[in-house]
Amino acid sequence: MSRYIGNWIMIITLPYMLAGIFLGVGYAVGGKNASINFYKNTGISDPALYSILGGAIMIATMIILENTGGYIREEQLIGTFELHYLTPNSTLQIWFFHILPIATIMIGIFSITITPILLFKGNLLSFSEWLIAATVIFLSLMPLAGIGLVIAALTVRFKEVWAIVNVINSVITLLSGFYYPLEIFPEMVQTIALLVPSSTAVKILRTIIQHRYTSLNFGPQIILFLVLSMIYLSSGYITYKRWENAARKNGELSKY
Amino acid sequence: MEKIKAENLRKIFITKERRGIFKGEKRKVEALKGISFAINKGEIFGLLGPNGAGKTTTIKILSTLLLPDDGDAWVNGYHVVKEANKVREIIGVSLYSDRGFYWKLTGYENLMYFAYLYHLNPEYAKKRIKYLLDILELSKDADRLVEEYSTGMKSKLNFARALIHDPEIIFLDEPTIGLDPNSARKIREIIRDLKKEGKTILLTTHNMYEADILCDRIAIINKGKIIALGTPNELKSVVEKDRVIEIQIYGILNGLTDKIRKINGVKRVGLIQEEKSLKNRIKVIMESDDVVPEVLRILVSEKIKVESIKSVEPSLEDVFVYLTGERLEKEE
Repeated sequence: MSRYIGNWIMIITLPYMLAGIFLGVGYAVGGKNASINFYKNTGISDPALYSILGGAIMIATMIILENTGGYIREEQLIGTFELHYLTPNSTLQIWFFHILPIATIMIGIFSITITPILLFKGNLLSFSEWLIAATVIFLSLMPLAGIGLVIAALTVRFKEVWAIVNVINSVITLLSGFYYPLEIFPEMVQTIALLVPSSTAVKILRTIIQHRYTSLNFGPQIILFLVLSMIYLSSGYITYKRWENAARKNGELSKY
Repeated sequence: MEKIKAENLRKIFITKERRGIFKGEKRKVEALKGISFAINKGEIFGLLGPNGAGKTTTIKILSTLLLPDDGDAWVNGYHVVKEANKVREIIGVSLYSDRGFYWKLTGYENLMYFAYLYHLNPEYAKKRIKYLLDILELSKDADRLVEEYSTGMKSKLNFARALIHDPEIIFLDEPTIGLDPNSARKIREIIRDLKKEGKTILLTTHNMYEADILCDRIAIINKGKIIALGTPNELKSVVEKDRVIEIQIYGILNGLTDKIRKINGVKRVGLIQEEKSLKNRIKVIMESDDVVPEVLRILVSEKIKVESIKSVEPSLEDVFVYLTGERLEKEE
């Protein structure tokens, strides 16, 4: 990790910087009444905490997507992608298990990111709350890994991973409510947003941060995560396998 | 005992040629046109041919990276398509000279990563890596990040990676390309040692000297076809009864080789151009020395400055020139 120290600093501080931008824009538009208006429109009394928390989850989401899809492109460019196919392993498993440590690291990053603001607010999480938050983050990242595998499959074929990742990231950001509650959208959009795992994760984590958690609250959401994980991971598996086979036929594995 | 067997392998690639911004045209490139060969246990078998001949495509099919369009191949009795994972367990492959590393990992860490992918016991992996780094003279650089490695060091590390799991069968694609003479000699020594250990090695190269000194048997491949197969001496015997002269000249004239080729008694003419100087070499394979005066007369009449002319022993290069009418490689 010490070899990418700049990246880690950027990832940890980015939610604060983005929250600063949004709060600045909000103040520029709403003036002194910005916070009151935000509360009236959304029911949220602490926009700074709200934005930093949203930003932290957004970064975790983006990193998982980019790492699953982008990782394979990186491997193609440096020439290690093809070498994995020379080893007696399922390459799909290698890519998938590569996501697990990143998801774990993301939980750590999330914890480090939100601790200063929670400390500042005198609102630190208890260990059990943190444990639930960590589980929610982990579970919400698994369906994203499935989406990442679909991107990876397209990458093997089309090479332009960043174009695909950025479009999908934009859609996820729009429908996740990182910086605004999804209730401001029509019901149809809110329903579609249920397909985006980070939208549910954001809601749960905000509930935990506000200490309004009861153990019975999250059952349906956990089931939703599991269903989404199954759907997206299966889609990722099928798409990747299909493209992998095509790539071995037409020599795409070697191209970069 | 046959360790590697290829039967009628064919491979066609579809490439897209750009015509303007939106238009493109698909073109078929027939990389392999039905090649067959077999390699015995403990043998070093060379695939010799120019760039684009189909050498790497052959290695990629045999190492399960590429599916053939037609034909079959077996490695250690395992079918390369139907039993790909079993093939992967027993082969070591060196594909690139200086690519295929994690730049932010050290040389040691790169090897350890691949050791895990081959499911090696960590203790054994450490010993094996130490041994490989020692013989490749990379030990003192083991803990440096690969991004700091020179091209030659990366080539050696690549070679070490191919041998990390002590494979029984080894595929080496141009193993000494880009290496300085000392490093290339070291790699050749190790290849010879591997043969002594009973490893079966398939080696591709366009370096005739390397093929000559290393290989037990050589298949000369050109334009997707094997045009000759045999021991280096058997191959050289193709031109043994002929005389070969090498003429060193300054500059070159369009059509000069064609003029020489038309001389009665000249069998083949090859031109070897040097990239970094005006010097060129012309190799003439002919029936007898009687042809030499006529060759010289043409050079004089074309005002070509001749530096030297000498009779040479037939080499694999001459065999290639003889069989294809083309030169095999450019001089470095």
